[in-house]
Amino acid sequence: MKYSYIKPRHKSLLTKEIQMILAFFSITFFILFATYFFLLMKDYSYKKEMHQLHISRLGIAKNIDNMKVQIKFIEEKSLLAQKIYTKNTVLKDSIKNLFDLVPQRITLSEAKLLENGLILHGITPNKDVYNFMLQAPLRSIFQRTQSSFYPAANGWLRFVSRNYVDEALVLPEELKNEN
Amino acid sequence: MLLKFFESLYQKVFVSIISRENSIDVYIELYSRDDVVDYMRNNFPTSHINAEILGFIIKYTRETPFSYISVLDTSPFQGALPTCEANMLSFYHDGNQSQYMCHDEKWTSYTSKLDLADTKKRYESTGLDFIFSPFTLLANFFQEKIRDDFALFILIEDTSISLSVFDQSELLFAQYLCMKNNDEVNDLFLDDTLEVLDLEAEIYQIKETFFEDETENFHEDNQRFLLIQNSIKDFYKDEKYKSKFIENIYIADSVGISSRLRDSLEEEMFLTPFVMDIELGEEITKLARMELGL
Repeated sequence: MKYSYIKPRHKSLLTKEIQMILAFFSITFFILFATYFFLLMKDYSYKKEMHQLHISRLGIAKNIDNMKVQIKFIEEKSLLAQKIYTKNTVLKDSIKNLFDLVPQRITLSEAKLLENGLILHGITPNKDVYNFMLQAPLRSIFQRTQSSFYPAANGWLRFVSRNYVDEALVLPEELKNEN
Repeated sequence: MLLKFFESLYQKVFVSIISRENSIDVYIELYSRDDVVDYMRNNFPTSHINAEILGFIIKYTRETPFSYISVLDTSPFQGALPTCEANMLSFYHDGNQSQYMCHDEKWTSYTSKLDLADTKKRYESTGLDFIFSPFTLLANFFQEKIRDDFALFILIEDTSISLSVFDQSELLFAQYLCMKNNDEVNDLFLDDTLEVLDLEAEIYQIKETFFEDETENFHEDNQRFLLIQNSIKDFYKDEKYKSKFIENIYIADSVGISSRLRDSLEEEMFLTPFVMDIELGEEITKLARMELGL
């Protein structure tokens, strides 16, 4: 104080208007920052969730691949089963047809179904009956047929008939394995 | 630093309140970036701070936090002493209840602490930042004359006279003289003390001199003349003061004194008067700015 007996009152920059402006800006900035942090948190949460979903998606994709493999395997199995079923049906029909082929007067004691052939053991009253009534139809089915006879105790003839088809006509490898 | 920067952005408002006998003058100056932007003054016919005055002041002060309200000290127990040394003050003035203020390490102005508190209380509604001594104002107004001359310097206010004798910046004598209003003067005539009778006689003597003009200022100028005359007598008589013969008298006139007073000073006291009009509001504001270093 150089001239005045008293000191001036304290002057504050924070007038009521300034206080109101500061309060307004403070609230505004608080809301902005709160919103920013809220969005930041949400963004982090979404990213985390997205990461988990990504992992989950990878797991599901892996599962889908496994399932696809399984489906393919099952489809193959199904196809194979269908083929086996068809083959069995064919085989059943063949066996039925085979037994239908055997005349009343020839008795079969053993029949072996081979991959590419059929071996029959039986007894026939004579060669003619065998030749005309059994060998003839067998020849129509198999490419190669061999028959051998030997006499039985009761005067009939025991026979062994070996019948084969060519390799080209054999079932595919897959069916062979299945069998 | 930051506060200074923000402070520079705001306009400063200086309010000077001058209490007169029956009115109050308010001078407001708007100050921005080392320049006076605008100023306005108003006279209110009231002796107290009322709602109208408050409204006028607040209209400008509410625009900025940096508003300063200043007044001149009106304490009758004030004055100035020709020293700044603390141990010498009591030689000139006995006042434990006084507040002192040293100026240029040459002279001291003082006033009553109680009256300062009273002034603060009186301006409680407006608030108060500065109370200046009229001697400070006088010294600032006649700065160059005081530096170079030896003369009597007087500040004439509505109800008081601040009188000081400077000899090339050295204060020799100072007195603060309160004027009495017309009723009091009339009462004084009824008083039967010798002193008052002397005063009465002198008043009538002066009255005769100015008999032709019976204006309202008659009593006031009479009083002023007598007060100045008595004060100069004190200066010459009192051994405490280094007295020299005064030739020149510089008057800072804030009320508009009559030519009669000037003539009587010249003719009866053989003084050469130089009268300069003073706008108290402006001068108080100057002091306020100086106080703030602006």
